[in-house]
Formats: sequence, structure tokens, C-alpha cells
Amino acid sequence: MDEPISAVGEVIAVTTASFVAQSYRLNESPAYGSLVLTHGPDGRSHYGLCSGIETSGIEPGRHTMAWGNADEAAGDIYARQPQLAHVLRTTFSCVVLGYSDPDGVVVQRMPPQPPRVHERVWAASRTEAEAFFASGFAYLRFLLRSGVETVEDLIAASIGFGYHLRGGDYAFLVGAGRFVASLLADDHDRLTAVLELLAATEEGS
Amino acid sequence: MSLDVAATAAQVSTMAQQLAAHAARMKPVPDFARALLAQWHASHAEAVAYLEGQEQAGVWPFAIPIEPMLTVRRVPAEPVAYAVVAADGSQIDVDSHGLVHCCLVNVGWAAIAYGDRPDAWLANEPAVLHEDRELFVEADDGMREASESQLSMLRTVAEMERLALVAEAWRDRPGLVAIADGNLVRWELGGKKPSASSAALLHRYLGALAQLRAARIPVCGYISRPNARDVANTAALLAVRDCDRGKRAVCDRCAGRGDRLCESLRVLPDRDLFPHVRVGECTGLFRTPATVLQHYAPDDRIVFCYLRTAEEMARIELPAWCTGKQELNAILSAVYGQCLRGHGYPVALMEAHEQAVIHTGGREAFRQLVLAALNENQLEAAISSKRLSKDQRAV
Repeated sequence: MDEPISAVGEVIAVTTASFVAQSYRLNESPAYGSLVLTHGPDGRSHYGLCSGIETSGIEPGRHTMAWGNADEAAGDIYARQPQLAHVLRTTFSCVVLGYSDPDGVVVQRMPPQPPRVHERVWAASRTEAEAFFASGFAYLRFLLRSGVETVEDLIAASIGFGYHLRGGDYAFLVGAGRFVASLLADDHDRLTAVLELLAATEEGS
Repeated sequence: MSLDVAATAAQVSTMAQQLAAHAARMKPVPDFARALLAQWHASHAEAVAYLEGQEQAGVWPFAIPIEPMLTVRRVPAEPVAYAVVAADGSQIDVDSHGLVHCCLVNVGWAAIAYGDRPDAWLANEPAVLHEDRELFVEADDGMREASESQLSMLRTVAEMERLALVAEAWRDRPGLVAIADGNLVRWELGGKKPSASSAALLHRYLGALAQLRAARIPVCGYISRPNARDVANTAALLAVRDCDRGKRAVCDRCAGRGDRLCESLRVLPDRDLFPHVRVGECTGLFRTPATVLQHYAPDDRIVFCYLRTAEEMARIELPAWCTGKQELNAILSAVYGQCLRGHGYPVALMEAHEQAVIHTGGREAFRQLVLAALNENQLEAAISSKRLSKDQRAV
């Protein structure tokens, strides 16, 4: 059984292949490399991979400045400046990896339509995440083409997410590593970077 | 054509020379003023009696010291738990060359609680004014379009009303203090014969002040870098009295000067008069004999003091009922604490301003909304030829 979870944020901008969501809680967001979902009214759910997290001022022209000073007593700045929770916001970017229709079958490909703005965003439940990884590693190809900075780290983080979700499934890690090796066969440096990160994932488990 | 920089430069140069000459003339004035204040500090009752005698003359805005002139008060430490509310406003003025004769007043507010249960409430509420009764005021020669300054008075009144409402909503918060942006003496609504519209605005403003008093929520106005000269004028009045018993013959002090020291005092801002007040201290209280205060309830008549923060000398205005020890301490400690938390300016006022301000994007959005609404109702959406010409800048 999945544990009941609540929405983590709300979509505020979409493109064909990505969306940005605002977190409901300041300084909290889905983990980098973790899977999230939106559920549309037509029964279609979009899978996204958290590819970046940012906290900054809500007003575009307002600069965030240091509030404290070196001699100040320790303490939570958000308690000392309670208005900060209202003038800052945390957003996270997601690469769209695929979708599932009401029948529950996951398709790893670009959806015909992106999620709608103001759709709520949920961390993928264990069942949803397992269904996603059960549908293969084709999403890694999207990631390589996504133009996301530090894409090697993102690939490794997403594989690590799946590995831990499946209780440290070594066969999963090896399968993913082989798939990455086939994608990056002609780019030794990038492949090495991903494999080193995956080795660290395995050691850290 | 572009600006004639050469012609402007010559005038700027003349201006700078005159400023330098003025600065040289003013150099001995602060010391003169402080010596006067020190002299009258020791004769407080005599100063008050003399100044009250001058009250009816009403020549200059001046101040009557409630406490001896050089009184200094240490601001109590910021309470561990307290709350502040502040309001501020901005507006999109009526554009007579624009699409519709209307304007927008946006009032923003910030309520912040400190202590065990930190909390904040930041919001704003716009009001679109378009009816004739809102945009025209009664004048001697019939109805006349409200001027920009009259609309800004309307905004000031809306800010005070909002401050009272927000403060009421937060009245259960311990140590609540309300902070308005700017002064609480509505000089512009007074005068010997205020118009019906000014009287109506003043009535609303005083209603909000009375509401805060009824709820026992201490209120003050915070003025950053004040240019007021009430205390300097007071010093000038006292100097004139002593200057050859009012005959104003040139005395020894002014020998060799083209102007009189006592008259030069009148261009000195009050904030330069109190070097003895250190950071975290404020001056004694002064009351102002402004005629508009006769319309205020006696308990709401405004008094003021100057507070030195780490960055500047600020002016604090407050109603008479807030001069009780408890209310005064609550106001001073909250305002000074706010300045310490806010890079030298009260955090709540800064946030209220941020809520109220209408940026370029907001102004354009308002224009687009008006345009869309006119189109939807099949109304003509035309701007004047002058506006069109200015926008196009055709060559």
C-alpha cells in the first residue's frame, strides 16, 4: 500500500518538454532526480523528473539581500523575519518524461500536450514510480537531449532514485548502466562521469 | 530636440556656486540654534508661555515643547514578542489623454508578528475610481476635476482607513503597534475654510484615528529624512524675542552678516538640531499648533519627537493619547526595533510599500484590462491625438 501523500506544488509554466512548479512550502521541493506527477482532468498523468530547484524573491525586480550580521546570535532567520515566507518562493523545474492514461500503462515519450498551468504536482508514489521504471530506460535518451545543465548528474540521480525505490536492486543499476553505456558509446568522458556517479550510488546504499 | 547640455551646464554651475555661498552662510547657524535650545531648556515654562502667546499669530509652522527642549529619552529594548501593522499606497493617476477618465488607488499592508508565534500577513487591495462623485470635487466656482494632490489625499485617507482595519483584525496580538507612512497632521485638509470634499476626507481620516484609539492600538507616523522645520522655527521665534526685545535691530551676533541668524534658522531642518541625541535615543515631545488639529479630537491631536536610528534622524508623530508611558514605550521600541531589523527603515513599512507599489507591468495590465472591458461593451476606446503623437514620435 502507498502511504497517502499530499501535493508538493503547482505548475506555473509549461513548454512541450518541461514545466516549472512552485512549491507549496518555502525551501522544500521534491529531491533532485526524483519523479513527480501531475494528474489532468482527462485522466492522463504526466511524469516529470525534478531537474532543478531555485529559491528567490517573488517580485522579479526585488533583490534578495543578507538580513543578518556577523555578530548576531544564532537563530532561525525565518522566525526573526516572518515576512520572508511571503516574499520568497521555491520553484522546481521538471523535464517531462512520459505519461500514463487511465489504464495505468506508462509511455516514455513526449506527451501530445504538456500538463496545464496550475495543475497540482505530486511526488510519485511507490506504485507510480515502479510502473515508470518497469517501462524501461528510454527516458534517459530524452534527458540527454533535454538541454538540462549537468545532465550527467541528473541521469545518475534519477537512476539512483529508481535503485533506492526498488530496495537497492543491483540488477536495475547494472541494466541502467548498460543503457547509459549504449547511449554514450561515443562520448567516453561523459559516460565515465555517469558511471562514476552510479558507482558512488551503489557504495552509498 | 535633445537637451542643450551647454546651456544647462552654465546654469548648474551658477546653482552650485550659490549653494556653496549658502552653505558658508549657514555654517554658524546650527551652533547658534543649539545654544538657543540649551538656553531655553533651562527656562522651559517661560518658553512655553511665550510660544503659546505666539500661537495665534500663525505665521510659521512651529512647535511647542511639551518637555524641556533638550530632553533625551532612551528607547526601550525591542520586546521579545510584539506585532506591527503598516499600510502604504500608490496610484495610477487620471490620464486625461488616456482611454477612460478613471484612476486606480492601490493600498498595501503588512502585518508582522514576532516572538513565539512568528507570522506575517502581506496583501493589497486596489480600488478603481471612475464615478464623477469620486473624480470631481466641489470648488467655489462649481464642480472641478480633482487634482493629483487631491487624489493623493484620498489615497492617504484610504491608507489610514486600511491601517485601522488591519490593526483591528490583529488586535489580539500582544504588543500591537500601527505604523503609518508619513505624517499624521493633515495640513492639506485644514485651512481656514476647507472645501466640502476636504472636510469629508478629513472626517474619514479622523474616523480611522478614532477607531485605533477606541481599540487602544498605539499608532504613529514614521517620517524618514524629515524636512520639517517646526523646531527650527521655534528657535527662530525665541531668537527674535531676544533680539533687541523684538525690535530686530542687528545685534552683535549678526554683525558682519548680510542676513540675520534668527532668520537663517528658518531654513535649517529640525534633524540637524539635536546632535546630543545618540543612536537609540529620541528627543522630548513637541506639540504642533497647526490649525487643522482643532478638527482633531483632543486625544488624537498630534505630537512628535525625533528618533535617531543608526542611519538617520527620523520623525515620529503620534496622537496625544499615545504619549502615556506604556503606549509611548510600545511605539518607540517597536519602531526602533523595526529599523534594526530592516536595514534602517521599518520592515513593515517596507513590505507595505512593496505590496502597494504598481510597477510598469501592473500599469500596462490595468491599461489592457480597461481596453478589453471597453471593447467587450462596444464602447469607443480612443486616446487623444496628443497621446498618440507622443507615443508615435513620428519623423
